[in-house]
Amino acid sequence: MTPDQVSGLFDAGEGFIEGTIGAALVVLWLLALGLFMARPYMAGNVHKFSLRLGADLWWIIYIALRDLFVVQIFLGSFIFFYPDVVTGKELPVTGGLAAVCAFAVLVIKLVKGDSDLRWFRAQVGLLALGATLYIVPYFLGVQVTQIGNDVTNQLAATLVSSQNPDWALAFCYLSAVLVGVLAAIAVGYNLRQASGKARLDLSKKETR
Amino acid sequence: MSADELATALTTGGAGWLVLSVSAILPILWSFAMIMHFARPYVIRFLQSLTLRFGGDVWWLSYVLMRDALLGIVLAMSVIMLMPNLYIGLGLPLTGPLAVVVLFWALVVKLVRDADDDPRAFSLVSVLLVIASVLYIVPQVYGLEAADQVDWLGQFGLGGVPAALSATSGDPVVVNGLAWPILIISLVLFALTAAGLFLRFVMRMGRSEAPAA
Repeated sequence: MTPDQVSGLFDAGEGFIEGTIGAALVVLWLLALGLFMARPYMAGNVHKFSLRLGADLWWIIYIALRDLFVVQIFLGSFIFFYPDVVTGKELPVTGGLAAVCAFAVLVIKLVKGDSDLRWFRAQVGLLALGATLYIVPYFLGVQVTQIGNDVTNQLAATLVSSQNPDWALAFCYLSAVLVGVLAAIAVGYNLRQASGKARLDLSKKETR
Repeated sequence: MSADELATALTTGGAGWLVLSVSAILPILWSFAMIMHFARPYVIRFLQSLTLRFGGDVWWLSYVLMRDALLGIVLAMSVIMLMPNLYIGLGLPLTGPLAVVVLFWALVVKLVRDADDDPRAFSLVSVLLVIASVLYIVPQVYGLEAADQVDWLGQFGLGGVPAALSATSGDPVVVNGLAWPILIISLVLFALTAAGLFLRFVMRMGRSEAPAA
């Protein structure tokens, strides 16, 4: 074994981890979308409990799981903000934009909550858009690179980040800017809530 | 390659891979910690919708536990930024050590003031966390993770950005002129903050800590 092969071993390990994250994100997107759409079923079950404790726990677990899946999607998608990773690995070319959709869902939850039906629809719409932006290029791009016919080669050349580095880098930097803007909105909202009248409305003490 | 050389290459390569992996994972942990910190209004809004105090307590303690544990984990993992062999030797994010110091300050504010009920303390912690996260995430993503994009960035006159944001760069390795001053200042500030915190703890020892019932 040579020193180059040793470093190649660790590079392969890194590639394996990033490829696994890329595949796991498909499942996470489907789970998150599924949990959002399961809301009527979950809300229906709340009324079947004979104890308020059971109903509260059921609802807390549902909300915590559903929202943590969206957070996990965004965190897993962080690899799409790394320029060297998106150009070096076979990943969906629009994965970064999908991450922006997941982050936008979180910001809407923060600012508008879930009780406003219009904004809840916006959350579901963004989640569906994000899932489409991730899953379609994953199945039609990343998963057809070894088929080898003209159609799949053309699809891969467009939808796989390492084969379309110009688009991938443009989406990578654009996604980072959009997430930065959304993060600034979230920080500004928190700082506004921590001052003035808004603070009184959200005082923890009032609720406990 | 002899057995000894192979073992050395594997352990040295493994150590470097581990440190660079921690460095690459930290932006994700930072984001998780920031999301939890800034989710406070949402968490409180949901808390108000719960019908039992038991449910409210479970929800609130889970939130606070996760939020604060994440910040502690980020600080613990970020300590590698203060180690010269790793920071200079592996070329970690240039302002990584400063991010550790500012994060430490945010945790100190949480320790000495009640950031959950004092809005000014909450705002101070929030601002410190934003500064610390930017000081870490920007050089990690656009320095270390964009090291191969020099030609592409060069089209826009930004080819020097990755090297400018890393403690060391290039082959042969060149140490960034700001790396040592940043590391030394950070080490001094970290030590002073820790000493101040310890002195405060010692001087206040024995005083009542329990809040009024």
